[in-house]
Amino acid sequence: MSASRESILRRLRETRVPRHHPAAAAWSPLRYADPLGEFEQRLEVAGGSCVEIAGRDELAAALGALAPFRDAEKIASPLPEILSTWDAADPRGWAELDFAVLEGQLAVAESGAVWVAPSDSERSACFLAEHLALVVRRDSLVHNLHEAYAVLDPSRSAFGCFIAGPSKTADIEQALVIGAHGPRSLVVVFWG
Amino acid sequence: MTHPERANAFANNEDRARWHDQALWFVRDRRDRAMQGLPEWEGLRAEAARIKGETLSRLADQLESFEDNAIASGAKVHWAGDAREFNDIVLDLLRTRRVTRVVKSKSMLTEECQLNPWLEAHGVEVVDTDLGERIVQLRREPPSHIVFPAIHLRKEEIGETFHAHLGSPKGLADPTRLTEIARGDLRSKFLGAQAGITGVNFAIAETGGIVVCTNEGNADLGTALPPIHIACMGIEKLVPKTADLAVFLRLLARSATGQAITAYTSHFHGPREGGELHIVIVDNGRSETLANPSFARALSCIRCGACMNTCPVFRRSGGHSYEATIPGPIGSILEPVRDAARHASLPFACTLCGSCTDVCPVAIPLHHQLKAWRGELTERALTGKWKRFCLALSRAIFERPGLYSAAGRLVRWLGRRLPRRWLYGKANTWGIARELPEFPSESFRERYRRERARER
Repeated sequence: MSASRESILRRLRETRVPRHHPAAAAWSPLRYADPLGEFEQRLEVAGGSCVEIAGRDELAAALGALAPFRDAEKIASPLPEILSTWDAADPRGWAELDFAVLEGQLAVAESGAVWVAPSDSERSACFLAEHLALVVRRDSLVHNLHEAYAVLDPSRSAFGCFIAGPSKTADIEQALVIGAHGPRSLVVVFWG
Repeated sequence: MTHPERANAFANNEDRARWHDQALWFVRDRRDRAMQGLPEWEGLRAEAARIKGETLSRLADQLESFEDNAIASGAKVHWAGDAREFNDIVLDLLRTRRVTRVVKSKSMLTEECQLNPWLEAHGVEVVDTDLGERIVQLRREPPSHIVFPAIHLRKEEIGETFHAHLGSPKGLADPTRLTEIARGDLRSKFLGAQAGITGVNFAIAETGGIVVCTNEGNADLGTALPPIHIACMGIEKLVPKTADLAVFLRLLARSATGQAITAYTSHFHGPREGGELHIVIVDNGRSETLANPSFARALSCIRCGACMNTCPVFRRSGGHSYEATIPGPIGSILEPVRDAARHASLPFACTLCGSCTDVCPVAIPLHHQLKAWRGELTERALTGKWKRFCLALSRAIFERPGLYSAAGRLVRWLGRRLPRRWLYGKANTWGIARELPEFPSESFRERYRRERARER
């Protein structure tokens, strides 16, 4: 145990911080009449897009309708419905990846975000790929982040992430540029 | 130099000052629209303020439980009392693992502790990977805003910087193409890095996890590729429970940029297989801020930058005029706690309009704290001699009604007779960019008395 640890904790314990009790009116988180519509709108604003399919057997065809997928040479996916054409032993091996398809566990309407908890090797594919598709069950859609955290337990995996659009930046004169570091496009496929 | 002197240099370039003002107002406007999309906004703010307040009031216990849980998840936890110790811990972690190439995502804490120069002086290459931070790093400038580090620059200037450092074509100023060039350059840095350093937006006491928010995905690449992840956090970053994240994440991006959520909101619980996760917990003056009842609540800040975007002074004076790690209204409260003499002019860079307090997602009473600072700085004689003389003179006059009337008569008499170059002399700083009102021949009280007498 370091000396700094002890002295920081001691200083904090010697400090009496006045409790602050803001007067809060009762509130409840926003829910939507059409959560899927809200999700689609949110994701579109963030530069992503949405596809709906009835069953997993339609997944390959749905992705095949997308230009980035059709043009992709190196595709990686742990999903049985999508044939991987590329594999890497090392996280850096995904650097040339054109398209990654991953399973999302849950979608949040208010933020247009999908929760993914990729394995170590999926994790770097998820951020190195030029394009990304996330496949989510339609009935996993929740209205807002409060409902999301009521279902999720992020501590069950070393890494978990809400992804809400392609990688983007506005650091040069506030001009929005898609594809800052990671994927240049994101498509969310709802099934079921 | 004081804030007004540095602000003067920025404001003298009228084009830039106007553009800067409008760019930030545009962000403020987007924030308003995002806020209006959530009917429960005020309830959320109050809830955020309550959670932060409770966490800060039992911070030692929260930190201990965070540490226990982080260790249980496989992370290593380090504690640093000050900037020097923090820099030493990080350097030591890198040295013992023979790391010479590091990628770093945004962390105002590392800026505060001046980690980059320390590592560079010891032979470690540190590459800032947030685009805005990379731009100012190449220019050897500090960031001017905590969310938009390069908001003070025009695209032509960034083009010149990229031409000089990254070999982009001369004269190129297209944001999309410039970003593409930076992407290519940084991709090679990500792939070559041996360790990744990140900041921490939120640390969860009940799980020992940390959350990092970016739009670019740079924190994710910086931690998914190299096997070593060093996360740096101030002691105030804690929230008690995972469920609390919902409250703060809903507020953070909406307040910062008007987005519903950042493109990537990454949760880390322990290292990846075969890798290492080090969490460095830093005090560096925060426990002293917490012990100061006037300013303790400023530690609730979640670094969204909304107070800067809305501040009429910040928008017109630029972030560099604050000469502080955290500029703007919140910085003008936090920085003087560290070094009151050095930052004594900051709490006066404020019109007390209260807009910062209105937009703050964790309801910090910013303008009240700024006003409190003014009183404290004046009492501690840290304000300028001239200001203190004027205040003492005003006080002497306001305390004596007879003297007040006489002084008023004198000023009205002089105001109507003195030549312009005297009236607008050095002492009249108010008149630098403004016209004095016309001096009336009688005061309100004189006129009142006269008209009452006539009525009778």
